[in-house]
Amino acid sequence: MSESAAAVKIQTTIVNEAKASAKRVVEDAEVASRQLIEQAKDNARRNLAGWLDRRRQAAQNSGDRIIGKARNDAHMKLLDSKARLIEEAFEKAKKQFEKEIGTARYKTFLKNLIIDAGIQIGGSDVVVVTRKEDQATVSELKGLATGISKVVGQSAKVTVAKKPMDMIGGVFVQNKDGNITVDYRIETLLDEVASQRRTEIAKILFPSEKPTEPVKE
Amino acid sequence: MSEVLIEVKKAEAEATKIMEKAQAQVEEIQRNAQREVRGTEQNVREELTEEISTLQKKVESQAKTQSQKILADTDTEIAALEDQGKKNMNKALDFIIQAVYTYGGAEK
Repeated sequence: MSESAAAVKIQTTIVNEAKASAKRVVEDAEVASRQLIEQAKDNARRNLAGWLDRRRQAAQNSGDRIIGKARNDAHMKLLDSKARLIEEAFEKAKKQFEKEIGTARYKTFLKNLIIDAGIQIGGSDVVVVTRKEDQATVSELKGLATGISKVVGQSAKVTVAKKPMDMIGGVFVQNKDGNITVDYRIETLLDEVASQRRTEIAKILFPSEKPTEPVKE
Repeated sequence: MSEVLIEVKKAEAEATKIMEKAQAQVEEIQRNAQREVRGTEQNVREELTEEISTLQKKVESQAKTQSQKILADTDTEIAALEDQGKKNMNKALDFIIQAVYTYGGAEK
């Protein structure tokens, strides 16, 4: 081998080794760089895990709120619908009572209400206030004072107030001074029935319906 | 100086340049990596925010669909309830009238 050829061979070897070494150094740096970045991402995800859970939960909660509101709205619509029908039944009952004037059943009813109210007042002077249409009927009722005095053990006097009251029916009973009163007007009795027997009325109107429970949020 | 020695010196100089260039590249790679690492938490937060935003839209969309179904089912239920109520109205009316007539034992 000539000196010149040997020189070229040595030169090529040195340069090629340098190139290979440089390539390795750069590749190593790239790998280390990727590892560093991945590690940083992992750290960031770990650091943000709690924050992420809270945001995920908040997203879920916002969905739950939408569904909860719909359930609540649906529940209220259902209740409103039932309430409307129950109210309709009471409105019909009011109209029905307005037509009850003069029936035997209604007369007996008034009589029993007046005796019961007179007993509660304690007898003596019992004043019965009625609607205009019932004044004559009540005036003609027999045995009111006897019915009261038999229970309270003292005499009773029952009079019908001259001034009628604006009411659907029934009676408003008071003592002479007007400081003891018993309200047996039909509208008051209907209110009592509405508050005390609403569940039974609902069962009659909607026999296949399960009792409505409040919606849980 | 022999020709071989001269060429070796040249080759060593070139090799040194190659390595210096490689070292500069390495330093650039490291600087870029450090820069990227510094912005990592912000980038990850942005990525996750986007992910959450997509999740929220999905959850809300599903919830709205479910809500519409709940309300539609309720309308059907109300229609059936009203039919039932109208059918039984007279029974309820009789019950109310009777309840008033028997109030406080007024009718035995």
